[in-house]
Amino acid sequence: MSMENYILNFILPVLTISMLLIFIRVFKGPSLMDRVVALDLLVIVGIGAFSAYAVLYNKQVVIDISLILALIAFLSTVAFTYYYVKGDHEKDKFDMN
Amino acid sequence: MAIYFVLFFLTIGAVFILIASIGLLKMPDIYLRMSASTIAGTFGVASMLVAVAIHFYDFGIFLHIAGVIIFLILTVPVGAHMLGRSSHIIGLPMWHKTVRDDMKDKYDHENHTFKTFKKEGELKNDTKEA
Repeated sequence: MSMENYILNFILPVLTISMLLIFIRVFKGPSLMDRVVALDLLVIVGIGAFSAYAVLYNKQVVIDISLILALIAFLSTVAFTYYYVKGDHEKDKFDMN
Repeated sequence: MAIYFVLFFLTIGAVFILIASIGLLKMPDIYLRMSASTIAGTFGVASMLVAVAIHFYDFGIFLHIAGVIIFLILTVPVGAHMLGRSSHIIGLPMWHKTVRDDMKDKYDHENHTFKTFKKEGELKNDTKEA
C-alpha cells in the first residue's frame, strides 16, 4: 500500500469521523462553554487535516495556515470566556437540561 | 525508510485526535470534556506536525513547525484554564460523582474577585468593576 492510499483511506477518514463527533457535541452541548470547547478542538483537528494534506500533495505552503489557525483558536477561546463571564448570563444559565 | 516514520507519526496523531473527540462526546461533565479534548488533541496535532517535518526534511519547515508546536503547548493550557475558571464562575454543574470542589462559594460576584486571594478587610473597600 502506497503512502497516498494509506493517507486517503485511513488518516483522512479518521479525521473526518472525529470532526463529525465534535460537531455532534457542538449541536448537543448543554451550555455555551461546551460549544466553545468543541469549536476549539475543531480548529485543532483542522490543523491536523491541513498537515495530512501537506504530506499528501507535497505542498509546503499549507504549513503557514497552521500557525494562523492556532492563533485564531487561542484568541477566540480567550475572548469568548473573558467576555462571557462579564456579561449578563442569568438567562442562559437555565437552558441546560 | 522515512516514509514509514511519516506514516507512523500520522497514524499516532490521527488516533489521538479520534480519542480526544470520543472523550469530548462521551464525558459527563464540562471539566472532564475539557481535560480529554485539550491533552489528547494537543499531543495528536503535535505528532502530525512532526510527521510533516520528517516528510519535507527542510530547516525552514522544521523551524516553522517547532514554532507551531511550542505555541500550541503554551496556549492550549491557558485557554483551558480560562474556560474552566469561567465555567466555574457562571455555575455550571459538576458530575454527580465528583468528590470535592475546593472553589465552591469562593467567588464574590459583586466584586469579581476570589475570596482566597484577598484578606477580609480589603474585600469591603474594593470598588466594583465595570
